[in-house]
Amino acid sequence: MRTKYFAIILLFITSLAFSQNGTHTLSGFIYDESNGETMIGANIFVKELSIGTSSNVYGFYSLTLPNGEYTIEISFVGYEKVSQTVDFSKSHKLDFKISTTSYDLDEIVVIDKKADHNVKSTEMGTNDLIPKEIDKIPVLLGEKDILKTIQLLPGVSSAGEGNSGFIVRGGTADQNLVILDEAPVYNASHLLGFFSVFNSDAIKNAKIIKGISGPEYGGRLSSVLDITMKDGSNKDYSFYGGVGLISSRLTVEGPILEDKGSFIVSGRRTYADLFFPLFGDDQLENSALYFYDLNAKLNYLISENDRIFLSAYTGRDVFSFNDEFGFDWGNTTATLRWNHIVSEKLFSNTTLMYSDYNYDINVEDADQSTTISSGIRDLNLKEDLEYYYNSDHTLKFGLNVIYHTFKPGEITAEGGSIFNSKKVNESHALESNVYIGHEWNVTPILKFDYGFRYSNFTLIGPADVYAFDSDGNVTDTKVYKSGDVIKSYNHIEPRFSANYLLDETSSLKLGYARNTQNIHLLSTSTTSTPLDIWQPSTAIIEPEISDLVSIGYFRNFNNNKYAASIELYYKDMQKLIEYKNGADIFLNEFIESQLVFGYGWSYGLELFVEKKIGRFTGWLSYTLSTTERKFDEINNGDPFPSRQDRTHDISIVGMYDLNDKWTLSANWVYYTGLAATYPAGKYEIDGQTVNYYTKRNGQRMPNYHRLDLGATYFLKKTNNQEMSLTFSVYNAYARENAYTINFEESENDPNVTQAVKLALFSVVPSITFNFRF
Amino acid sequence: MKKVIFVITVFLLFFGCEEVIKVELDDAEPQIVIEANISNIPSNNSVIITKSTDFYNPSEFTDVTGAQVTVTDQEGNTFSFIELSPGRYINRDLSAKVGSEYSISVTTEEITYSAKSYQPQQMFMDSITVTGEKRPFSDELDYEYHCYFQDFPGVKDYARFRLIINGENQSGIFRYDDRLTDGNYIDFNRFFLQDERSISIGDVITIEMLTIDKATFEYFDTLRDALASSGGGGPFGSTAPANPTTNWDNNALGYFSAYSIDSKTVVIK
Repeated sequence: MRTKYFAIILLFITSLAFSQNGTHTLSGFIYDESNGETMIGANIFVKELSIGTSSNVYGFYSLTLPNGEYTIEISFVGYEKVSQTVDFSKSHKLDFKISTTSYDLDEIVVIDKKADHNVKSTEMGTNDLIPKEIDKIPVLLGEKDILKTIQLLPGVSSAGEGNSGFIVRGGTADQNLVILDEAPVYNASHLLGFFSVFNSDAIKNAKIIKGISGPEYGGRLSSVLDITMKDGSNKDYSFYGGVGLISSRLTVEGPILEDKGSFIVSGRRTYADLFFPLFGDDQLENSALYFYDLNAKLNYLISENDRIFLSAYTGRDVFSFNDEFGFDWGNTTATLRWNHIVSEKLFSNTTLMYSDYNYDINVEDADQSTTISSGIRDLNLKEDLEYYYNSDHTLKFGLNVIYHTFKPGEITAEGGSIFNSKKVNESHALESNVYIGHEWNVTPILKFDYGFRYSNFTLIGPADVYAFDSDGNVTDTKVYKSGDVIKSYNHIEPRFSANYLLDETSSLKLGYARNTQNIHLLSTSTTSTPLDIWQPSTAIIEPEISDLVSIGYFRNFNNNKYAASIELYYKDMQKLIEYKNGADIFLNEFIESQLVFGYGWSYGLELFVEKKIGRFTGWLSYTLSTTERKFDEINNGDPFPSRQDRTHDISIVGMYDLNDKWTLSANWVYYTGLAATYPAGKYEIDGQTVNYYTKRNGQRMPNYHRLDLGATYFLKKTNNQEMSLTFSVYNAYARENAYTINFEESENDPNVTQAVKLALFSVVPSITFNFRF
Repeated sequence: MKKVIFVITVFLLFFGCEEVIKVELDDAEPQIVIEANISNIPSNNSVIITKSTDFYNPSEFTDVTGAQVTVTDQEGNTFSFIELSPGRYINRDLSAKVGSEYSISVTTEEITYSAKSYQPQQMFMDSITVTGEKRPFSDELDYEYHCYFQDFPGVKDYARFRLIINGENQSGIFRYDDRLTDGNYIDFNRFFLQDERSISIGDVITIEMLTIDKATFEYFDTLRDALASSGGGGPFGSTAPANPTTNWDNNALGYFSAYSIDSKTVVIK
């Protein structure tokens, strides 16, 4: 195996042997003229040679060409194209500033990215979103939600109604790496999953990669949701936000020193509990129900070649009842980054980050108090380098070391509490990764993007490690001291994608990726309750592995006005984890004895058609897929569909700029109902009727469909100021989609058992007032 | 915990709605159900054998008659059960001894089902009380039933309870284990009833505490999600309900439990 990798690296080095004499490099940053924000993925095109490159996630580009004079064109959808003649007789720095196209009704462009990026790049199963797009989509209770928007894309489905957890290509909700300015967010939802933690006012870019990602990403099987916060304008101050039915938000951004640095602070809070006193109930008056998010970011250009960023996020959900019972959870992340231009061809980013996710449950009365807490904390050091060798070769390499601390649960009991203080010991692990990748324009019509990621996961002491018999009884306990290695896993994850340009407007792509996942979210119920536990791999729990292969055909029509693609994928997943029947998961130091292991697979077809330019924009997405799992101990060892297996999944999204006062939008979703376990009979125990089950997930809930409508009315819209009202209706034709179906006795006649459907939402209208100064 | 579930349910119901619908179900063959109990008090020994029926049928379950039911203790002594009424088999001689393991064998329609259970050390209640607390949004009282007992330190204790009001056994599965409370003095009050009811002066409240073994506890713990009366599910319920973990072999439903019983009664004044 290893010789194969050496051979590939050797091949690559020899291809570099065609050394380029007499070339020079142009490098620099691409900025938005109005606020100094760096442009991610802007296209830099050399007209005379018909080659190009794009700016990286920090807006940096590097272009190496033979001596001569060339016309360089900078383009970005939604912005005026900038054209400049540049002399390449010596290497130098050049920054470009581009401005948004002037307001033109017929050519309003909503969607981000270079117009034919989907055809020309090697990216597969990837979508980029910017908040301007998300803003127009009507969502639940008027809250704009990145997580809800990505569920309208092919291959991405929701984990259930009202739930912001998402499933990508047959995976599970914990198999998605959600990162905010590079820091992982462990629980991306508020209020039991009804809203996500991301305030889209503070977001510059969100990218979802459905499995075939470059080697710089890793750690989760199914996808990467990479969210970049805005840097903040380094020219003018502005503040904007909105007041809505459920929550309000406010963002302030501005320069620290004009053109040198900027900041952005963004906050959001719900206030359902401010209405509690109106109910006139004493107990309710002392209760609280709210969540908040706070994002802050500073960036400063220290020198021509150095910029530092400091970003932080903190958010919390708080629920308490009459000071007797309280429940709160949240994430806090902080990232310090240093961009350094090592040379005109070498860009470096060093990141140090901290992430903390925890929850607390409090029960208290006059004579006792009990607190239960649990969480996960990460300290992460990362170094990423991009080497722009020349227009045909770009190298990326780096390393990433994460120190995890897992706190699976602790009870602190005081006073007369009937509970014993108990702590399931913390675990510690070191997750280290090294990667190398090569983007190679083999010929003008063939591009390869491949790499390897080496991942090591080591569980370290101090810890007590248990061995179990088949009944789950402890047979042996081994004590490890601080720093001892308990268990170590090594994996190599190859990544590969290729793009073959059939003609100017269409291409064929092929991709393969192996992903491993060393930490796992153990959870039992449908919604993302904070009682889910993040569990490291151990001697008993092995890392999960997935292999994904996909092939796609990408085509643009009408001068890039329409983009279409069809992708087929097959994913194989190993070492999947489920709870055994009747598992005891709460504060259980023997949690490993409650788990069973198996494997699964998913395959499907994803169709996507998008209109990107014009007064009317939108997309249609259709996914046809199957996802199954197989565990010896479940369903008698027979394969069973995963809960979120969805044969058909359709989303139609449309946005229409009616005139300069009104913008309308609508989306319609339809999908096959969730797989569910229904009874196949009933019997009596202890005088009570009990349902009898046969096949796990053997039935389907009714099909789900829903129409949402939205309209935005601009009260005022100038360059500096904006005021608008957004009206939205969720579930416009009031379909009562099943949230759960319970099989229970009839209230009128206990001799009769029936199926009762609980629907969560009927029509939900909302109004939000938005402003910008 | 009850209050939390109440408030969250209220929040959900603000928007949500329930509706009875008809869904297509598989109809499995009728399954054998054996509910076998033996106790330190012989009058409690009973084995009830019935069959399951289709979900949309009325809840009338066929009794299985003419079965051979035998319990054997560790020393090899056998106790035969006689059919007192259709499907109900009893034995008045067997008094389960603490620390003993019992085996049971039931033969019907040419298939033999067997299981094992051991008689645990008995826990005794000191007292029981009933308290009333004001419910949010109304003037009515929420009743809580408390029973107090000492958990044995260092021993894994399991119990299940019966709540009887004016002679009527209240529907519900009330179970206890000491995983987080070993050796403590316990105030057990998790009597969550399907139908809340009010208590009046003169009502007779009885709580029975059955000390059971681990297998029986696991049965009742996993029974919860399968109950038709609780309407299992909802936001905190299981998304993959399964048949309760049974100690029977050969796919019989039900359980075999050896238990000790203690009982306390109060009259509301």
